[in-house]
Amino acid sequence: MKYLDVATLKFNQEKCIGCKKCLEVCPHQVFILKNKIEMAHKALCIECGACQMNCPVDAISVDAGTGCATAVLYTYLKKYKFLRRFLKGTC
Amino acid sequence: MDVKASRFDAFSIMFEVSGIKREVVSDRYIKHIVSEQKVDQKFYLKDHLWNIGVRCNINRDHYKIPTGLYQFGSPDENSKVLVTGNYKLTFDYLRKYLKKNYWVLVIDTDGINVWCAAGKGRFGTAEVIRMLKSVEIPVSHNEIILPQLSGPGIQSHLITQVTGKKVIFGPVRIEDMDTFITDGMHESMRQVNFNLKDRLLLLPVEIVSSFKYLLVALILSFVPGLPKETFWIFLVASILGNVIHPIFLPIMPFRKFYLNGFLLSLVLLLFLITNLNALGVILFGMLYTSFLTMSFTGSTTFTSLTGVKAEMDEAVPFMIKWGILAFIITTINILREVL
Repeated sequence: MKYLDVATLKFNQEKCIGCKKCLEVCPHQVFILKNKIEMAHKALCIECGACQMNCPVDAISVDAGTGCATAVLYTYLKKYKFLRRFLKGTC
Repeated sequence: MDVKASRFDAFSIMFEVSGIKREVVSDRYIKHIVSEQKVDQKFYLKDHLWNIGVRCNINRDHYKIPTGLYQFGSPDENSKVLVTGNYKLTFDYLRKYLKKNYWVLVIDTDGINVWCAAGKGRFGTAEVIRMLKSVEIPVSHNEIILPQLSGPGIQSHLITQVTGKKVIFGPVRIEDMDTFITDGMHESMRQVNFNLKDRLLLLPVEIVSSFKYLLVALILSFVPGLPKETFWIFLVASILGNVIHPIFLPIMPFRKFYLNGFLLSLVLLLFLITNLNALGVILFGMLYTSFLTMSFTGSTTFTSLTGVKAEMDEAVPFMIKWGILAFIITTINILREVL
């Protein structure tokens, strides 16, 4: 199953030191190891941010967050004070 | 050593200002299975009942266990150290699948599962460091195994810098842990799935959450002017969005969830056969199905934030227009019925 191919994931191969942490943490195998690490399946990225967090040399960047419509809606609605008390936290 | 200590202080300060509230968690859910640190891995009626309840959205936000070090089996100084969150449902997965001897360090994730807690920073670097500093683990090695899905909240190199522990990311699913320990990592253990069983387990929460809306629909069925089918329309709309869509997700034609919702909701037009004046309510029902399917993005394992925002940029204005249309047509339907 694939979602929209719009992920903000960026990989700077020149910075990469080949520690393979990104291979370990990525739940969708976006990165693969050939001679060097390559960002092979960017379309599968869910922007969870795990690779960015665990890259010790900041070679990876992504606008991380959770792909949840309810959360996006709540974040938007919470701007309005009078709505806040109706909005219970979700997961 | 001093450098490390001062680094940790920086962390605890960061922790204080980040404003995360900690509560004292009672051991009511594990009193019957934990004595001292030892964990009884047998399941009792009490466990099953609470778990079924939580799966149905009952007490889901308060199903927490105390943090600390637990013994699975009879661990010794060579046994592996696992780290997990303090959601009882998560803990029960460990109890069910771990057959070897482990030390399990339960950290405070506010009763939220590993992946969600990591995504919101709650299963985070600072919390892991805090627990590692406050709990003495009687092992001779310095490895800790974190769940792979804690990755979004964890900076493993920082944990190593501060505590000296070597961080290993274990498999996604705890049922692979024993194999991982003996045979090492296999690619399939790194892959997140979303198979039929995973999706079916999500259904009860969705269904129970829709009850309150169905109650409203039931009451509306008796309002003069509104079609008597109102309840049935919303019931079907709810089933389409909450049950049919999750089950058939892999074969849905569109990538955008709300479009699949509208597609499924065409079924509701069948109600026109019994009552043409139900059109307005049917349009509302279609909107409801579409909204439910769009909401399901949050339950899946393959949607991204940017993707969801892109979908919503398109879906929300469309839904608002659809809602206005539904409102106008419903008003016309009511007028025709009453006059």
